[in-house]
Amino acid sequence: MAQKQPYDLDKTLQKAGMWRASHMHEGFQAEQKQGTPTGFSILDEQLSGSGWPTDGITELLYEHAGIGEIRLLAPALANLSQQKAGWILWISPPYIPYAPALIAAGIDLTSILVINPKNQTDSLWAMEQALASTSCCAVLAWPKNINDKQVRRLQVASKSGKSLGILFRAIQSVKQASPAELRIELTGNSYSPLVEHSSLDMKIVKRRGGWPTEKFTIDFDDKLHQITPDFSEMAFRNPHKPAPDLVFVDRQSSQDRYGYPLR
Amino acid sequence: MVTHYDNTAQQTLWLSIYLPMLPVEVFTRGLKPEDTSRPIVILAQRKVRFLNPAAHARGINIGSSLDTAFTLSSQVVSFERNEQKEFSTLSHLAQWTYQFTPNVSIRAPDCLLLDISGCLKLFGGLENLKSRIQQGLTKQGYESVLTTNMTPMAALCLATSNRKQQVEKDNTGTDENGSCVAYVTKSLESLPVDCLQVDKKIIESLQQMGIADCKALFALPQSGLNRRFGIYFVDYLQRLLGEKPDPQKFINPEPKFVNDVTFLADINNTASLRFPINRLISELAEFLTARQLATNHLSWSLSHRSHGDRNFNILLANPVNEHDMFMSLTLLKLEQINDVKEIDNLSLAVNNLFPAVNISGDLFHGTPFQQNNSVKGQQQQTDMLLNKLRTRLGPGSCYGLSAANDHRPEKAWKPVRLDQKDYWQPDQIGMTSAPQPARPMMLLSQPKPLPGTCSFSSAGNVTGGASVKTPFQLSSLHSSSRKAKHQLTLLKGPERIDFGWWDEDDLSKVITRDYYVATIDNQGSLLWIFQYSNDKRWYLHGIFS
Repeated sequence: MAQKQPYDLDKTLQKAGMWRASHMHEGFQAEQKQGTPTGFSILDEQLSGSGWPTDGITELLYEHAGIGEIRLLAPALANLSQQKAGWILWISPPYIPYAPALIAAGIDLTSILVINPKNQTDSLWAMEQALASTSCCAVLAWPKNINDKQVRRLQVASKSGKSLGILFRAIQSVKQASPAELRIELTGNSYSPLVEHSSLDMKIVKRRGGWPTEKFTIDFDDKLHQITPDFSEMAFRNPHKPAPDLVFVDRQSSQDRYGYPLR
Repeated sequence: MVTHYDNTAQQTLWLSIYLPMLPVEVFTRGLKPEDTSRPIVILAQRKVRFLNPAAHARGINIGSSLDTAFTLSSQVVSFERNEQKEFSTLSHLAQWTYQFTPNVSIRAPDCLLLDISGCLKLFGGLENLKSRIQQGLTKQGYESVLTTNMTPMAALCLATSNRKQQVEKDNTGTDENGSCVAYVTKSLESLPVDCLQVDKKIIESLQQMGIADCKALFALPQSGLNRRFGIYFVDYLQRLLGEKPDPQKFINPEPKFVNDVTFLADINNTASLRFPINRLISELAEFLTARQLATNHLSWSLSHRSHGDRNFNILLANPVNEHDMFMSLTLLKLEQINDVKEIDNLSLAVNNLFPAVNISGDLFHGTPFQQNNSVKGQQQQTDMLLNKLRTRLGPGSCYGLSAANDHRPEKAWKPVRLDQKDYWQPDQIGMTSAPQPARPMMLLSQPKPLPGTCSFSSAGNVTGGASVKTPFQLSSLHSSSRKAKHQLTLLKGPERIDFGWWDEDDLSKVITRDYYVATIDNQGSLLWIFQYSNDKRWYLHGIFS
């Protein structure tokens, strides 16, 4: 019986394929592909390649719609659409993607393609085809239930077609393992009277070349939390009093919505 | 032989394509080899008129009755002769040969005449051209005999003589400098008179006169022949020898493509249609190539004699002529068809034809240096994806988005058909300078009424109304089914939007809406809700996703 060799740490470390977490910031980033900038510097810092991955599946997990899951993607989509890199395909979105809001976010509508497959099989098929074809730069889908094998197929297709796949999934699936490249848990940020901008709490559950992160907050550049001060008086102090016939006033610009200066 | 129609200045050369097995082949082409090895007979008036080699090998002869044929072999497949179909096949083949020369003439029932004097150089000589045509016909499932001569009638005679006996090779040489008449006379000398394309009675009386071959016929004085057989026969002879011009009626290229394949036995699974589909698509691709055309619409029809037709269409994003794309889209569509039990005929029709547009391809196409991002490659990929999606999901399920010239939220966007691309471009002078109020990323197709007793508060915690009685489902995807009371906090608003009085007949129905940005249950979701100005009902209209 051969004598047991003493454990040689240095030798082990020299083996090819050995990756040390402490080396993450030296060189690992360099070998990563440059991602698509997210438009949020806090998020960019957390992602390898400083942006959304250019290929692979990204999962966004959340409970309630309307917390800013598309506003989070909007800067990157605007960037991709202006580069004319290909279609941005929306596969059976739960509601109508609203063109005026997309334009306001800087997205070029001529690169948008929406499809509404009749069933889940067709939408997964369509997503795989779109990801594998090099003609889509981003594919957005809202699968109702999808298992890890299906995600893996999509991941492979996305790698071969070099297009970004984004799955909007329910928060319950955060506990399931998933082969997706990047998984982010999104939580809506409750309204606070102190800030005008809406914000979104996010926690990276899985990413390349890094551990899961703690919760951090990104701020949207909007004024959705800004309160119209005279609002409460008008509609709620006295609900029986008829509402005065007002046009909407944007206080920042002292113009009404038709572009005329306020008297 | 008095006058000589001398055309040595411009030598004409005619190619005759004779299809001896056409009546059989209209039924058997497109079949698998194991099917064509069965004995097949074509009947007219309950007598065998045509048969394939397998039937001949079993001892069946032309003229025997169907009963005899069945006695000799129980496997015999019989068809009633369909002359209409033969003619349509012949016209289709004439269209096919249009790729070689524009001067194609149809000689019913089984011959085609091609003026090939102008295209020999293009196709690299006579032998090359002949082998190309012969191979093309064999590939499509037709046996053919090709003969050439300097007048159309002479070419036909040579072809028909091949029907009677395997005559010596026609020793056509275009380099021969002799006159046309001398050449034709020489080439036809040895042929028997019964291969002339004239009335049977004339041939019989010629034979009774002891004239067996053309050499003897040509030696007779023309005036005597004129008196004995009439002017038409002499006219024919003059055209045959090239003494008189013989104008032919040429076909016009058809503006559409129609072709079909008939099956011997009923086909009951769509998977076995792959082979005949491939054949039809190859023919379509050749048709389009010959005319420099492209198409964006293929109509397929699966039919059976005792059922109705089952039609399906393939719509393409852009007109193309690509065999592989046609094939994969057709197979994709075929996968979805499962309500067809029996098929005995498959047909393809293409009516929408466009002039082909050629984008220069990649110089290194098919090599490791091939560029992936070339314009053509990218365009092909995009078209292929769109075609696949539209074929499987239906043409209406894919659309683009555009803004529209209207301030009402429902009408401020419109779906865009991808073949029209009618995107609305806002003019720069108008509203773009003014800051737009916030709009939600997602719009509900129909405003959804909020439960009448939903509780609302402004951001200043001033409440109105009562608690929610019914659960209010924000979205089918992420809603929780628990019965919860919902509290909506209004943040931003109101934005009054007047509602299209110009679209309504009854002005009393026009109700203005006051839009608000609201948050629900303080969980971070931002909603776009509105209240009618008259009856204060609340609706959800959008989500700030």
